[in-house]
Amino acid sequence: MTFACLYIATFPVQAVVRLELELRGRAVIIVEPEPPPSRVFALNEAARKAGAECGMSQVEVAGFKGVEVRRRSHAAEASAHAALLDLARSFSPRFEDVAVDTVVLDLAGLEALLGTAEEITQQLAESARKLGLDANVALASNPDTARLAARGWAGITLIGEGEEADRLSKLPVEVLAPPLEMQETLDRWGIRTFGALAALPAAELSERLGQEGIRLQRLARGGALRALVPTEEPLHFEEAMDLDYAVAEFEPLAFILGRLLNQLCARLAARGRATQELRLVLGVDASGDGSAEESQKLKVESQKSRINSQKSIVERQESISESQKSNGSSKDPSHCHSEEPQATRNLAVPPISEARFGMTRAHNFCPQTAKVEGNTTFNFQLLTFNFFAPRTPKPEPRSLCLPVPTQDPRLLLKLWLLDLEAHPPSAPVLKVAITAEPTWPRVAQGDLFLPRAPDPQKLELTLARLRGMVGEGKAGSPELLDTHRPDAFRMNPFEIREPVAARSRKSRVESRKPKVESQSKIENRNSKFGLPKPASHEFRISNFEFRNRLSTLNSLPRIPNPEPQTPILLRLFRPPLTASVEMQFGHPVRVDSAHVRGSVISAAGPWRTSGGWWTEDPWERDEWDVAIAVVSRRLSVVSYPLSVEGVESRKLKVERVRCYRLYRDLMNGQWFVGGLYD
Amino acid sequence: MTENCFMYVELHARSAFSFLEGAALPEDLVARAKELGFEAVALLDRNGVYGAPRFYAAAQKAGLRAHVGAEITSTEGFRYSLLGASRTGYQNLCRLVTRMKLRAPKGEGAVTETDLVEHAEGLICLTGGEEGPFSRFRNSGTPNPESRLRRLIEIFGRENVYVELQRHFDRREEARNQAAVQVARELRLPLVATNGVSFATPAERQVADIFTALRHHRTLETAGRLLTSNAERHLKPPQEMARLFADLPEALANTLELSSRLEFTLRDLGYEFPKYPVPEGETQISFLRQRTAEGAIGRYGYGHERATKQLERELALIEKLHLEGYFLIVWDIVRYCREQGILVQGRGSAANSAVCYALGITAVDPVKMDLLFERFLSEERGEWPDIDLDLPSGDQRERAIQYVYERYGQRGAAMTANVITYRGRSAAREVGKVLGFDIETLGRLTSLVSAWEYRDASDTLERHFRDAGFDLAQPRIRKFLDLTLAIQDLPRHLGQHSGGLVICQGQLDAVVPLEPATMPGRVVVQWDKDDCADLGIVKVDLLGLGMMAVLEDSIRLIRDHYGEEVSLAHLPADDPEVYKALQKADTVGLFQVESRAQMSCLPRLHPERFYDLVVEVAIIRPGPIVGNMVHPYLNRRLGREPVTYPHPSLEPVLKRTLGVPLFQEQLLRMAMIAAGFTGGEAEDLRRAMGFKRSEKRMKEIEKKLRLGMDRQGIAPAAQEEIVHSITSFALYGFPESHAASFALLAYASAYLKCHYLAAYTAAMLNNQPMGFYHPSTLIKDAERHGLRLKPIDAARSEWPCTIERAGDRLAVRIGLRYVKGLREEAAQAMVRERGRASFPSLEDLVRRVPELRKDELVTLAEVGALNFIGEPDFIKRPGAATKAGTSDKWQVTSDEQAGRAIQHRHRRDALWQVERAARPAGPLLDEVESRELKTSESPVSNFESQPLLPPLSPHRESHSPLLPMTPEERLVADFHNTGLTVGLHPMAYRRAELDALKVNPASALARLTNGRRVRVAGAAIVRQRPGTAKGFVFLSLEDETGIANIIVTPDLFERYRVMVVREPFLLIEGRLQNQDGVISVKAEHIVPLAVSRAGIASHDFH
Repeated sequence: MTFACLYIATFPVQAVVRLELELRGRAVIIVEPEPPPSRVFALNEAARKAGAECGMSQVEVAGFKGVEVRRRSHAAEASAHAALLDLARSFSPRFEDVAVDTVVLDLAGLEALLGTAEEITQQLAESARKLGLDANVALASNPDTARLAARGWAGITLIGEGEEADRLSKLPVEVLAPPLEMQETLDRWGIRTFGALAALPAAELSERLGQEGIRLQRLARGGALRALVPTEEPLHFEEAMDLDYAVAEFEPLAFILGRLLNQLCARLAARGRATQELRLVLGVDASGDGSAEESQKLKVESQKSRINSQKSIVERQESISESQKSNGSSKDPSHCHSEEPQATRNLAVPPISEARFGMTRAHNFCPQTAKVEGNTTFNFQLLTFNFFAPRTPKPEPRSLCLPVPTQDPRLLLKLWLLDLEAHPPSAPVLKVAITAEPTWPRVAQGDLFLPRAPDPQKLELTLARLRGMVGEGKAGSPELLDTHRPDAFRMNPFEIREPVAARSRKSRVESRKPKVESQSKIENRNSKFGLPKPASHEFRISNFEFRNRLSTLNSLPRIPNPEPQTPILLRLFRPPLTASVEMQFGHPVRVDSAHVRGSVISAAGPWRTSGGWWTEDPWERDEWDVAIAVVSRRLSVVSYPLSVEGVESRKLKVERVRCYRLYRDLMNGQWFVGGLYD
Repeated sequence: MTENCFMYVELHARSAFSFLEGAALPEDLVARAKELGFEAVALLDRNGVYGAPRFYAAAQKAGLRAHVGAEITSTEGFRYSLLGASRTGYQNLCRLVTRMKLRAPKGEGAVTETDLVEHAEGLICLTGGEEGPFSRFRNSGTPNPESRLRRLIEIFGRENVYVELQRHFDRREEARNQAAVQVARELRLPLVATNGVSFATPAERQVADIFTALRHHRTLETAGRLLTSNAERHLKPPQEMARLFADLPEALANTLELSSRLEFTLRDLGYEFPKYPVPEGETQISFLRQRTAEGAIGRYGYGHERATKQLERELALIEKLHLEGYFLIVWDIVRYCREQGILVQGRGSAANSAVCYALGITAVDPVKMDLLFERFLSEERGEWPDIDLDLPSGDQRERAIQYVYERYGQRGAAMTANVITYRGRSAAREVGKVLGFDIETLGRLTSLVSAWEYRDASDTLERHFRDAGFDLAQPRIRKFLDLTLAIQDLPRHLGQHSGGLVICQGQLDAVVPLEPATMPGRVVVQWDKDDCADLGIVKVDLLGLGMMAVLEDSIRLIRDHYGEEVSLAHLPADDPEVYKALQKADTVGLFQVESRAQMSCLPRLHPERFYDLVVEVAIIRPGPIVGNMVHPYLNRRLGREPVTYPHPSLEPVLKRTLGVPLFQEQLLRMAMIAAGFTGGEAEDLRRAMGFKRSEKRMKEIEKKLRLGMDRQGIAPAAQEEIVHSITSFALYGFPESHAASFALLAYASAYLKCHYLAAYTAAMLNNQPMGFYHPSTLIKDAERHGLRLKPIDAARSEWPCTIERAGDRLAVRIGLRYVKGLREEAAQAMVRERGRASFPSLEDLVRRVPELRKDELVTLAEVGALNFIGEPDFIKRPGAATKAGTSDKWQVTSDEQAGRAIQHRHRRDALWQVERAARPAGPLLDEVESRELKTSESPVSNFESQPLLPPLSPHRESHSPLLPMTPEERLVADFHNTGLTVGLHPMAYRRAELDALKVNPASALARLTNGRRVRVAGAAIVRQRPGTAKGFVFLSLEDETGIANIIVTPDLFERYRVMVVREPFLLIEGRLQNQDGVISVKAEHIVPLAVSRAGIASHDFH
């Protein structure tokens, strides 16, 4: 058995340098990514020679000349790690992903293919260099010795069988990466090398450091402790299709989506997973020729055929799935492709297996009217072809979050279609990729004693439709925010809580009662925590509050006060009505807006709020509660003569007196009619 | 100012002394009130009168009347707004606060209705705003809130309850107001308008919001409706209030009426210093005269005419000012300390008093030194004298404080407060927290705030923000900075002053509210020492001084180990060894003269008598340094420039200091002589120069000085020189008496070090941290003076450092207190157990001292403290070997064998064994081990009859397979775990290599000529960037031969900043400056040196 290990020293540095080749050979320092980036996180040897150290502040580093400073990039590291795994995979099917910077390969049986073990190590190092990574490569008879040798020595190291202990003996114990406490103990003991650790009497070492000490000692002696743990294919569910021809219409796009989702769900099911989060990346034609028109076409078309086509496509997908199941072809779509006549294949959809590898051929697209399973007819228009200009798709990502995990491609397709209707791609689509985040499927059992809640999937669908109609972020559960900012709320996703099986019957009965906290209870609770009373859109305003101070000044007739106990409801205008307000002596005397117009016969205020001064969106407003004599457009009879000094008397015909809430946004001086008191 | 301006008085304002509930300083409120044309304002801080003295002082200056009151928390959750109408009312308020505070933990407390009933006289109650009783009764759904108001009427009287109305443009508040008006009409109570002020100007609302979030431990984002809904709680102009309350004019008119009823001001405090109980037939003054006369005989002997005359003059003034009680009380404290063997010495201006000297309060003879009595006590000043007593820090000082408490009662004496304010780092941290910055980011920012004393022009908070990576162009960051600056200097919480005690005749709690301090048994007043002084409250400072503790410990150690009795009062004057050491700046570890600046001054000043030491102590102060008085004095002393005087009339004043003013008294006398200032005016001048220096005030005094000098006919040039001398004494300088007191301590410390080095060194090491140098430097300095230091040894060391006899000499054994991470209780348990029987093995130590944790054992082993466990004296104990088994290697019978065993034990052996001994056996073997324990039993229980050595398995005490530590490893272990080493200095190991590099040892520099290019190297033990040194950095490099002083210019420092600040060992090449015996190297090149990994601590950033 022979094992090779690739270790990328100063991995965070190499990951960045790999993407900025001009940094090669220069002193590079990586600092922490979050602002303020003040501490050195990693550095290469050149930077170390310049005097820099890990943990230095950026201010200190600034003193070093010729040192390049970069922020740590997790993306670059992930990419470098992926490259490292790809490299390992390209050499051997059996490899272990030991750490982000380390991979161990089983070279057994590769000699015939790639040459001797020494030659393979050379090739490994060379391949890593081509990937922009300077790797330490070590070859040994067991994985751990290979790993330790790679971490301990730069370049290529070959350790023959039987000479492990001798060769490793000079390595520092830090290479073993013992637990911190043990590292400190070894350091206190003066055990600095593998050799020193290996020489300690095992039994006494065990008494002091336990089994972990023994394990480390065996590692230091180069003993084989374990078999390779081959890296499994990660749970990564992605289906993608590169299209040779841009799709500019809703129908074929929907069909492609359907096929991809079918595959994705089948793969999820095969691994016993479901998904709650999907990402769709549409690679749109970035060349720009006619994209706007195409997009518009896609949008208009999609609007036209929204209901029918969704239904039909989904049904068609179902029938395809069924037929695939019935003839057993679903496992191998390519097989289906080879058997079916070209003209009757599923429209413009290439076989998935090919699509995944970007091998879709132009002739797979069949731009003609076609009749498919389920007897649903679609009208497909001719698509634009351009055989000569290679196009680079511009990604347009979308994501979809579900309240419960699902494996249902039909549901997913509906949701995506609704989403795409609301957010059509900006240009014809050249590539489609869907990624599903795997999760465990939902297992739920109904409850005899609970009323049946709406099916979460149907609910999600309904909400998606609502969102499509009213706009993103405008459907869900509103939540009032704890702030003085008037009318502040946010929309939360609508959630249905799972019934708790263990709940007692009594509590179930209780749960059916509407959960309304009494006002006093809320106030008590709030006062306990020092909180003011909760705001409400339904203001309870006593007659005192509605007292008109203006009237005391100008003898205007007062608004008849409602009984103190009588609540006054405020209906908010959404959006508020822009108004023009005439002021006299600091009080509003006349309001003009699209729907509210008249003289103010009584006003209370201003009620002033301001806040959010530490944000980019501060507010400051003065509110007035006003009684307005709403007049007809025909000016005639005086109903309420204004007798304030300096205020011009007006002759108005008052139809009725209504109370409104006016407010002035003090940030821009604009007046609004905010609501109407019932 | 129009007539309208006075139609309203703000009767409900909170200052920042409501701690996180107000955003303006009292002075700012007063200034704004003055600006708006108020004639009176009332301050009602939360649960106290913390801000009242400053409010009162500011109001007095502004010509406003300052009403005093407080918001008092009720047990029902609301707050009574109470105003003191008369002195009785104020006293009741203070007592009420004291009662609620003293019965609750610090920071809490509330009053019951019963408390209120007992203390209602003289108080006026407002029904308050949102947090007032009326609002709470109404909001809590009390069925009949009127009945609760009736109860208030019963408590305070109908004429003393006002229904308070506030209008902040809030609907809910207005509803409450309408209800309040209705209730007031029904109950026939007067209405009063207030604005419930929390800040002076609308802009301060942001600070108020910050404080609200801090108070509730929220961020601004999550504080929600806890924040104010608008910015209306500021001081509003009377006109605006008139507009707001146009419908209720009587509410405004009543503010004037109520204000006119509030007769009490803090001038009418009624404070009285306690009378000292004298024997029957005596008066206080007669008793004082007697004690003074007795003391004078001891101090001056009989027939000292000058002294008698001075004493009589002072006693006459004391009698005239009725201060005899004060002197007797201080004398009583000093007497108590002497009786208890507590070292005590008066400092400060009290040393100007011959009476204090005669009474034994101070140790400096003011008659001999011709000190100015007026600096201590002046008829014109109208304030109490200030006597500060230095006591050994720690328990001794606490005993003295507790004596005062016992003598004058818990409510008769209390500590003065210390108001902790928001400063650079704390302000940035708190503001950042509420703005939602993460803790780590804030940590980085605050760590960048400079700790150097010197701050150049660019060393601002803005720069720190930039250095921390904050982009000030971002509005959020800008806001962060602005707010950080805005809350600077606002009070954060109340602490306790280190030693200020106020004492009162009768009940102190009727003068100022008392509250519990964090320290158990301590009571603290709500005012700081300046406030107390401003209001004429006598304060006695019982200050803890580390050097006093050192001297006290030294005296004890000398008595125990040298068999000599040393009295500080009878130290030989002008001891040649002391002056020799001082002259060559051999002053490491000495009081006040050990700093780098002092060391560079000493050889030039060349002290030969005590007064030179007084000058030395006083001259290295910011005042003389900034005033450019150091060099003229030294030059004149060395005869390099003639002694001249700004004016011939000043010669008597400045003669002693060669025409250069160095002491505060001299400046005052100059003003008195040259400008004809009275003693009181001179004292005003001193205050103007003090810490809270006001430019405006200085200008006024300068003008007065010039006028006075014009009158005296002093020429313009001389005037200029005098004014320059006085005004350039801008920063603090010592009074001569204070310098003399400190010089005495400096002399005593030098004397003890020169003659009793072991005792002095042990005492110094036992009272760390103190002084200028780390213990490692003190140890190396002591070694260079011939003292032997012994390492920490678990078999011999006590918790403190002790003295042992080593042959015919004394040596200092380093105490266990220097083992980092070793808890005192564990160490004491080990010492206790060792006292009962030695530890034959580490296993035995581990078993018998279960208090020792594994990490502590490991540290002890690592510093070599366990190397000698089980040494021969135990093994040779009669019968020990025969009783023990025969298999253990420690059970040897001959000295030779034992000696060999000990010889072979090294630190790593101990580490190897400790790792096994301290490792729990685990559940499987627990039972076996406990059985073993039972059979062996501790030798303590029955020392002679039980086997002394447990039946250990042979392998447990066997030699380890580990190699001994190398010298470098030992150094690293020593410094890491104790901060010092008694072995060789790290530089000593590298001397051969350093010689090859032509590096001069520190001790060799004195032999080299001035201006020569030299190389020095050593461990950086001190890095200084003094505020007065214009950006120069001073390094002290220590090697095995001594300390080399390095000067780094600002440019060079900027170039090598990281290296200078971070590198523990440096090699410096530069030009030697060897002038007048002062040796330093002006650095030109700096190179880091890889000498050792030992983490030698450096005393930085002074």
